[in-house]
Amino acid sequence: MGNVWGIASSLVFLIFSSRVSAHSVIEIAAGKMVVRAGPGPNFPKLGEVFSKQRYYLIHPKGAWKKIWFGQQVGWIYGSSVLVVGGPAAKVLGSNPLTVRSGPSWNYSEIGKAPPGSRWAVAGKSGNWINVHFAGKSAWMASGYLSTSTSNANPNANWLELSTSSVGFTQLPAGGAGYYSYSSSSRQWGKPGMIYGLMNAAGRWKMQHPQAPRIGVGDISLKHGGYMSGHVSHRKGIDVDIRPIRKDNIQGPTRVGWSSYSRARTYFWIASYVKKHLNIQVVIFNDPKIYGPLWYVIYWPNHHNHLHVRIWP
Amino acid sequence: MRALWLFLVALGCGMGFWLGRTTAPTPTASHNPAPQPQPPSPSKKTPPIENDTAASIPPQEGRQPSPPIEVAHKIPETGRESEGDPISENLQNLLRELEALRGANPDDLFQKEGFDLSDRLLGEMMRNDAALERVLEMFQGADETTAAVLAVALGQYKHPRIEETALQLALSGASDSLRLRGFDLLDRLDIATSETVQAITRSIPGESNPNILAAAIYALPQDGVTSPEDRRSVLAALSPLLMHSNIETRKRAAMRFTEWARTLDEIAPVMKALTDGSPDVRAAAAFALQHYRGTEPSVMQALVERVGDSNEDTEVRRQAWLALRHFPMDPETWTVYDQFRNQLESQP
Repeated sequence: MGNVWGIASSLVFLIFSSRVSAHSVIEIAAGKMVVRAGPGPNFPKLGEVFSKQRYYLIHPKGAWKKIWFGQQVGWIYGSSVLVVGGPAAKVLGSNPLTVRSGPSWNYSEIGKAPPGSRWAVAGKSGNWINVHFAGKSAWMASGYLSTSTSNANPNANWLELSTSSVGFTQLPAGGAGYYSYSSSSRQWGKPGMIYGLMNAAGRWKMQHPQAPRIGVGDISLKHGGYMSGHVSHRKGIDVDIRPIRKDNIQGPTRVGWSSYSRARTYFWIASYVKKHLNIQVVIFNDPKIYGPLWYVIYWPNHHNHLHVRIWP
Repeated sequence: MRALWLFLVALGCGMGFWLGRTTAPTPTASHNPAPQPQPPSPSKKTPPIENDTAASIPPQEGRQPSPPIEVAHKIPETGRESEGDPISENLQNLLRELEALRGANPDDLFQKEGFDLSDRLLGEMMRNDAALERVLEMFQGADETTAAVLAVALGQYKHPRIEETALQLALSGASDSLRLRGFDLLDRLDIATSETVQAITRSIPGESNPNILAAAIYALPQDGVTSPEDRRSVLAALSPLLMHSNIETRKRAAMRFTEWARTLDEIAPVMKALTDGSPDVRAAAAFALQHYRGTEPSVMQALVERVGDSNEDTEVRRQAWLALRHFPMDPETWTVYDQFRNQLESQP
């Protein structure tokens, strides 16, 4: 029964992820909806969103939907949203972007949008983009944004990048900062995955020589396609990684075990995985990790490994 | 009535004793849907997760401490301590489980079954030399599925006997599949001794099987300092491979090259690989140059040309762009770098 549940939930994830990978702009159809810090009624309330406001949907989790809300991600519950699509703006660079109450530097600051966050474009005025931020109408300077339909950044070359024809590469089974806990035949992936993992683990080793090596599990088969035990892991863009232990021992652990190190695992994800791989989503079931890190989500059966998916 | 009462009390005590025995949970890649934390032992109070220090974990009751092992390769004890007989009951059970996997397609190996078994085998081998010898013996004669499970376990334990077996199989294995098995194990072990490096580099020039050649390239250690002589041997072995007819061979040689090449002269073959006919090789060469520690303008220029070429494969451009970060860029180079960064960031 556990296996049926695991496969069914993974199948749902695979279906959703193929849509969610495009991500979506949603419009609030109810009068108002409560926004919470996590996907459940016991999570603290962050604020509210209101009818006709548009937000960027990061990921649905059943009836709970993760959106960019304000200075952090938030969760709304229910089906009173419409997936409308439309232009979205992404905050460029590595610094938070000041959000103002009007389309000028003279307007007061409402808050700061995190780097990499995405916002549904509700309008434009000169060099300012109108969005909804923490339940309010707000404005961001377009020079610090990239949008899906136009780019206000004067330095951008707007030729779309072509799809790469580079094939799969096999991960060397032993290396600086990592070890393999899977068969070599199951560790082929896109170059961005393999090279990114090697770089991330190499930096981990260099900067934390006494820390345990990172355990790398299944990626994909040499030519992709179905891999036993997984619904995904077919395109060389998924990898399973072990959480990190407190005790410097190289081996398995899981959320809730005394050997599990939340701090190290958080640090590994936020400072190495995020930096060296072009992350689409990370799945890992520690609420103190998927809460604050917007690109980390909860999904059943992911308490003993991180599932990292990169953009193709 | 009194006798019945005494019997019930004794039964309750016996059950309590049995339930209270401490056994470590077997780590599994479980598909348990419940996200709630599970305490590792019903009789122990789980320390709070927030108390996330590097304090040592007290040894579990009734267990002997593990023999001292290099910290980075220490693994948790799984299962009970072996007692008396060299081939313990625990190992026998594990080997029976392995036997049940015999003949399955390695590509169909279900993650939970195969690699949970590897973890338990590893624990047994690290406690018991006789178990290690038995596993090594099996590894050499096993079918592909069994060997895959054993390789995962053996590859996590740096022990002289394992290293010796891996090298012997790689160099003198009776068949190509055994030699591949040996090189795969060497890859996992990542051994940086001069003996191993020299043995691998000597095996490369005469090798005609591209799969074995590919495995041998990966078997060279990634993570260790070697002598100048070893470095020269590796570069001498890898350089011709950058012009090999097989793309995978050229790609792997390019990928590994700058782990050994340091000077501008030494990286010249990788620079040439940046213009290889295959985008796979060019991407690997660009990745290799991310680890080049110099700042030679000619290297930077070669990378800029890849990044700035809109007809170049996107992955090649991306890897070259990542390599450019380490260089002191002039304004023109910065413009190319920045333009490509904007393109990358604007992708959906």
